[in-house]
Amino acid sequence: MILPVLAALLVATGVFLALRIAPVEAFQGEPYRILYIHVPSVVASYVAFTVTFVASVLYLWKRERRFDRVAYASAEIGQVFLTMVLLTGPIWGKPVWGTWWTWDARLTTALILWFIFAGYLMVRAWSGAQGTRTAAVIAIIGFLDIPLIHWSARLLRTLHPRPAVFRPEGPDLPSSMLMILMVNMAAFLLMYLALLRVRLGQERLRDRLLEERAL
Amino acid sequence: MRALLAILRKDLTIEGRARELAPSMAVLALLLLTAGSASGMVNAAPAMLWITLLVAASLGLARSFHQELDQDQLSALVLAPINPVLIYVGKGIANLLVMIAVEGVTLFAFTILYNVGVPREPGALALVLLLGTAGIVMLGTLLGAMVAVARTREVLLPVLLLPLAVPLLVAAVRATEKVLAGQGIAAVSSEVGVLASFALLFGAAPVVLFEFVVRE
Amino acid sequence: METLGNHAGAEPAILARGVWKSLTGPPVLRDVSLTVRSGETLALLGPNGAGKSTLLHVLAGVMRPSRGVVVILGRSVEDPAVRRYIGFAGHRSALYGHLTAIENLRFFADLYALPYRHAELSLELFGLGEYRDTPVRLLSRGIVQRVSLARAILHDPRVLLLDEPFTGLDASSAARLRELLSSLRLRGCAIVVATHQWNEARELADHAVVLVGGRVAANEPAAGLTPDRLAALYEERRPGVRGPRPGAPVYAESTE
Repeated sequence: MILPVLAALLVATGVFLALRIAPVEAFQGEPYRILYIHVPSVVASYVAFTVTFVASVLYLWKRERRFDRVAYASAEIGQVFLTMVLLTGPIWGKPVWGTWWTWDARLTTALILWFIFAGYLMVRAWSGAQGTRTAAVIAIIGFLDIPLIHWSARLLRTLHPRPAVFRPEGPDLPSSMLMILMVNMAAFLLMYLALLRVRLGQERLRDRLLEERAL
Repeated sequence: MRALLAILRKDLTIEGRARELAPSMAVLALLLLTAGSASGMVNAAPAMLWITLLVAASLGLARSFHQELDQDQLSALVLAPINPVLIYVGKGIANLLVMIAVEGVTLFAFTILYNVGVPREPGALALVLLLGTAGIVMLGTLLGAMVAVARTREVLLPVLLLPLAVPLLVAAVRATEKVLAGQGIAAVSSEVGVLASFALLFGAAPVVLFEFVVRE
Repeated sequence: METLGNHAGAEPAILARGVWKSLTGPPVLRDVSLTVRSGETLALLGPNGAGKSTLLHVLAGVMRPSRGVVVILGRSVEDPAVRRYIGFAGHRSALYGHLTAIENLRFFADLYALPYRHAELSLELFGLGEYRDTPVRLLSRGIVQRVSLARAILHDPRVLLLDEPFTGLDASSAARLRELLSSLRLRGCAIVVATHQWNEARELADHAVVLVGGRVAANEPAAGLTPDRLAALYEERRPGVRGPRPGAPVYAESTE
């Protein structure tokens, strides 16, 4: 009970800070504020995917159902966050760069990752319990492929003009912004954990129901 | 070793007699190339080539594991006192040979439909083709096994294959572009790096993972 | 440690303990335990859907149990060294349709690192000489069944698992199979035969295990089996689990 409440509070705080307290950015103006959602979403989704990867490895190794549940729940939630990333990216980009999309390495990687997650979820949806091993393997090879995807996306960039104004957040953010960003990051991670807990609870319940019904 | 050759021989014999995979893959590839050329994709010729190869591969690789399932042949293979990875390697080599055959036809049509000249360094192109094809086959064979064994619908194979194959696609297309424009091996070193890493990853991963895929 | 050199009466050749198996959804096998000694034949009975085929796959090591252990000839079935001694013929033939009978057998001889002579012998044993060079997809079911059995015993297994092996066999092939099973028994092979037919079970087997709804409903000498006893056992299944059609006891007429 504490976790969701805490997460909700922190998210509310973060949003408030982002909208009211954070200073205006010199180049980009107001629209930059979406960074406070965009970046934490990215982080949350990558954390989710890593959790899915680790859980998948453990599942294949130990064949214990609970690892599979974690992998699945985390993948679902990660996909939601990733969708947020892909929506906020262009929303940020249009007023700032003048285009909806750019083949920036990180955005590209996020897009491909979205497809990999989608494949994972489709496998699970379409093959039930037998698909759990397949899905686990997808998660594993997907995770290992990400660095390669990022590398090749960088190759793309050398042939496209770099967006003039796009500056990813980096160590050279003023400290006030950095702090608010950190607050939002923590908020999103807590949100991930809270959602994970709920989803896991659902899966556990579902498993119990199936077993008991079969007795 | 004997087992590996036996598996390879078996797969090639069956393909030789059934003649299901290679012709359908080749026809599909030719269709795609034709459609692309007709609709003005000539400027994006390298992209067209590699997308065609990927799609044709998806079709073929999804089917190739099917023959292990219709009479539960896979159980007999898994039961045999051989390393399960040999099943993957044997299948993979067979698929590679089929793919090369299809590619030969595809390349021929490609040079004609897209007005492609001989590159200054054909060796570079050959290297890119080889690495790219190997990567596609390695990943595709693994996915083909997974999709077949999990009884997932075959349409899922391209959905799984394409995102994972993005590094290969990007690198292969860029490299092909450069080589056809007259550049040499040195210019495509990073692309080749990506292709080689890809082949390494998807050559090594099945060695560990295949056993889990194939035994319920 | 060297328990693979087995003698009748020593360690059980096949041991399953607390085996559970789930595929899609509820468990197909629940807490199944059984033993089979060398030279012993076990009949596995049960209505359709009871889990006999799944159990055979698990005993063969082709499927991993969700819980529990399977030990073959003193070693875990997961141990690759043991696979060489297991023969398995399931419902489906495990043969490649586009290869001929002899090509199929030679393929498996390659996998088991045996000289091709074994393939020829196996072929002869089941009277398949005339079908030698015919692609399997052109052969009738009964013949395919024989080739499948030839494949299963090709490598002289010490443990043989058969799923309804008499299906589709004519009288003379069935007789041949019975002879083969007898001689394998004398040589110390442990055999498990899944079957519908109680009389077949009683004739072939020393012991019988009846599987109902994935559980072991009975584990007793085969001599005591009667159709009434079986029917009673099948009725005992819990509600909600798939079972045979209500009414007549579930045994099939003998094949022609």
